[in-house]
Amino acid sequence: MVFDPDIPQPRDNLSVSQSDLLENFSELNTQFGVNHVTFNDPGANKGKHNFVTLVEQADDPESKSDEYILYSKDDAGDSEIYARPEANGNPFQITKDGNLFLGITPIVAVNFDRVAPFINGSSLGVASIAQPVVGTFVITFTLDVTTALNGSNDYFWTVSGFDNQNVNPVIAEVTNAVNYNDVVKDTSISVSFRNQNGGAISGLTRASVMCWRFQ
Amino acid sequence: MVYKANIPQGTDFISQSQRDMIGNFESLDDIWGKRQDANVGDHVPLTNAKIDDLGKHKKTTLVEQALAPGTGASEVAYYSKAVNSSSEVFYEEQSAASEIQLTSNRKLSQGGIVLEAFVMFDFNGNIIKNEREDENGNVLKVPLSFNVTDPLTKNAGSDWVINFITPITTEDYIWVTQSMNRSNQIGNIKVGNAQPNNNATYSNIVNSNSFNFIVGNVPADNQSVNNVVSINKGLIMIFQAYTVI
Repeated sequence: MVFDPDIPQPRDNLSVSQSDLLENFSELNTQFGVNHVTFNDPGANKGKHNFVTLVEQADDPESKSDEYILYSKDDAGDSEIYARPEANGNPFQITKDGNLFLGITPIVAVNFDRVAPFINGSSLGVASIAQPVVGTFVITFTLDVTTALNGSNDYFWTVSGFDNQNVNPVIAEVTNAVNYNDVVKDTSISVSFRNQNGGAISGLTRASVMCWRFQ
Repeated sequence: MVYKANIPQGTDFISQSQRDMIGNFESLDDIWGKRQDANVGDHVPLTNAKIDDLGKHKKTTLVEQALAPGTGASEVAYYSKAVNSSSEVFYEEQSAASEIQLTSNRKLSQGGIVLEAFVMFDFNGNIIKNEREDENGNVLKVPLSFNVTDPLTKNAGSDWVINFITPITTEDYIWVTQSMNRSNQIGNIKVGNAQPNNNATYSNIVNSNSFNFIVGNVPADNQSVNNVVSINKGLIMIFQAYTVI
């Protein structure tokens, strides 16, 4: 069935108009029902959307004052969601490669302690944690940053922790090493907790590590 | 009125068809966007006075879906789905590659984490405020914080308690602590180390309602300390708390 906006014509026989009108009313309901609750839905959700499918646009649509536009556009071969503020404001990208687009996106987030299995609560991107030596922890990722996440091992990190003794500051950092790639890898990161004299912290109460990659 | 998709039928009298068609047009008019009630229908009414607005949306109300809708090539979709009995917004990549949760418990989710609180504060526990102009040229002082009470609780030395306005849903959140020492006492080895306060009991320091933040003095090599010595002035601190969805 195809919606026909040019019916009924003045010279059409009623029998022709009948089928044309029937087809139009049916097609309206079908097309509307692709993204919306159908016109003939008996429930209370008439007029609402089930979901919104954004067909990729070639150009940024124009926006007038007092309106905001959401649409999709191609970004390096992927359809992504964009927004354009009122009065033809500068469009900006909202999604990228399966994430909100903020410029950086998290790859690892974990709260852990010194006792296996180490992890507390929900973590992001962490397959396992090991403590090869006291006070040093190797966090292994679920995904390879370079091959799976389209990044590199030049990601950002934060490390923080505290211990069970109120005698020393807890210096939390990526493990010191001559070679960057020995501790900051595509599949893991090594972090260490030491006091100001370089002594390993043996009584770590909890630690928090996050890693972010450039989008 | 109920919209009838199957009219007019070949055997219908014209008078019946007239009633059915006007019923359909009235139904369409209401469902699309009711003129008398802005909360009914997501679209600008079909008979809207402002012609430039015809064909556009007022809003998109997303009725909760059981499954991702499915997308073809060169299209994406956004929709809502239940997560722990709450409706959240998702989007699905092209060709149904994957579905990504965008909201969680009234906040945005970025890559699977949610920013629950952040603050930049000074030694006295006051939240730093950023001055900016609004559209009328008025100067606004915008606190550099989210979900943190102002001021913080200030303990002796460089020790503060960050209190959350809305408790974080889990105490196993991920935190970030950083500090900058504005003092020029480098000669006295005033190196600040920002961290949660040391304590054997986690929840004494990190819990759903608060976070105990300290900046300790790190002395020079081969100098020992008997306790975590605080830095007494000139600090700017940053704190963030995240949860994993």
